[in-house]
Amino acid sequence: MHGEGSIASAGVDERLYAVDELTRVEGEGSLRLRVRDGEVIEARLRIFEAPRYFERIVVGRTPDEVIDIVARICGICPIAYQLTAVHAFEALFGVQVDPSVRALRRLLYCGEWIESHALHVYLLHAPDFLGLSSAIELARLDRSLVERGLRLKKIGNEILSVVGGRPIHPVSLRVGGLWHAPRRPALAKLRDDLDEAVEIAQQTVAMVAAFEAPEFAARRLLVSLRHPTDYPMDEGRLVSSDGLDLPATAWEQAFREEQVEGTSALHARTREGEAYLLGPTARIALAGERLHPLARAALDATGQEAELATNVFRSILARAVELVQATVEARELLDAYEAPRHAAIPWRPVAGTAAWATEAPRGLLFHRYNVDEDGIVRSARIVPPTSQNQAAIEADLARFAPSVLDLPQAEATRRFEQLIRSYDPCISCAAHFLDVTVEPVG
Amino acid sequence: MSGRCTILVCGDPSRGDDGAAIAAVARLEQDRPPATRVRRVGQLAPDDLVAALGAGGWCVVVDAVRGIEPGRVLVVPLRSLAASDGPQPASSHALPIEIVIGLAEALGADLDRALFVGIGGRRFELGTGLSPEVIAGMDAAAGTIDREIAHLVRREALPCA
Repeated sequence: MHGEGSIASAGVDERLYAVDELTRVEGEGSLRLRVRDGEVIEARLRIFEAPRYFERIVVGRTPDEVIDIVARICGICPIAYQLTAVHAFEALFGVQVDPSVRALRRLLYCGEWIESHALHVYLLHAPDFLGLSSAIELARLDRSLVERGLRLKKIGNEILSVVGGRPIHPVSLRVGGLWHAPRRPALAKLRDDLDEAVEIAQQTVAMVAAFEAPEFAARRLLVSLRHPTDYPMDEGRLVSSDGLDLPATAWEQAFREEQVEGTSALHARTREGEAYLLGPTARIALAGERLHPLARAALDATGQEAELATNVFRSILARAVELVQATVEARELLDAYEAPRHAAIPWRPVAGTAAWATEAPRGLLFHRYNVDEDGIVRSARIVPPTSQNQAAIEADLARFAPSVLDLPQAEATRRFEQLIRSYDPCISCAAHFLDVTVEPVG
Repeated sequence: MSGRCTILVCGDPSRGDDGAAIAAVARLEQDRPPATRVRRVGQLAPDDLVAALGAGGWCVVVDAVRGIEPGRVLVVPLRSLAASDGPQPASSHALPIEIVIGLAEALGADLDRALFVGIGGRRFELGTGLSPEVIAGMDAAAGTIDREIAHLVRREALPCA
């Protein structure tokens, strides 16, 4: 439902742009933007999905229980949550996994990036650029386009099924390795699928590069992981466009979360109070030279890399380039794969702080667990990418508004929705409260 | 015309009553007609419907639902869920059901050949195990799925008849 209004009294021109239920985003949120005499006086992305208390649920649990629990935070990116937790515990316990296990984990993450990005590019975001209201309209207009997107998504899901045990909330990851490591023959079918996926991903880059995007150049603080050799995914240091360079475990040194009225997600900002942008755009800007040569070639052919860094509407291109990255990398991981001698190695708990960050499809995801000498979690902090992007989204809404105020209100509202979708927000993930007080009864 | 009947089973047994469809279809496994096939899809996707309904196929989508009494069984044409303000499938965090149905139709699936069997659930939070009311309704749910398939078999002279 769209609510819009214009008040003109005593010489004041006040307009309200409101979307009570945002569509084509994951979860439930709303937009409210008020403009008075051409000046934005309120820009809010509200998240009203019920808080989910995951940080409380994991307290009292063992590391492997935590890994099962955090997978349930998101049906689109469970691997991100699981792998961040796995790395955090392994870093604390001093676990070094077999290189083949590392490869399988990265393959799983590639599968998740493929299915998540394909969903967003084809079914959620592309309709905006084609002047359509939904993927259903798009399918009626160009059936083969939607079929390509669904095919790509399915191949991502297949990777999760084969390596992760099932496509939704996979079950193979554990501290010390994997519960099960597939043999090469089990992976053979994926190889043919991935040839097809690479081809579709390359077509996707060309397709979205031809989309006309609204003009919106702005400098934003960008944050991502950066790895010495690999495109950032599950390992690397925390870097930013203004020179930050910290271990992935040290997110809390540079950033903080704050409660904001009217939303069940905590907003994150730098310690200095600045909003920042995560996700594919930030990764390409900060680690683009780590792209696979095929992904790099696809990006170069568009001639849009510079605009990508400043115009968030172009994030659909960044996602498409990462589709090439993930499909090609998955194919190469399969080609080089040798089953590990042991799927998992034993580990001993150590008391201390387990922390890590990985790159979920939507951006940096940080976990921190305080663990006792038996390995039991005593407190936890989980900072999803959407809650980190939320302040940047609101800042961009305010920045972008003046450029559309002359448009009919419905069209301006549509542009605001398109802008929000450019961040691929996952509102269900973002809904959380850090501080939960449980009072004993009686 | 004849074709296969596919049972698309939705849900996640680690979300309480969201596992109702899986449990109900498991009861049916040994006795189900030979030309039916069962696919566990977790979250229903448009291409699942397109594949199931291709080449004259039929399908029965089974899922837990919110909005009816726990353990009760609901049978409706799948298409009706798109416009319904009533009971809704409980699948988590995926494309909304009306988008899945709309996309499947736009991609050529004949939704007149798809039925929905919903099993009312009480709780969908993290944790395994079905609510007592849902367990009590399992025989009825499995029986309903069996009957609906038998009905399709008779009506369409599917190969298993």
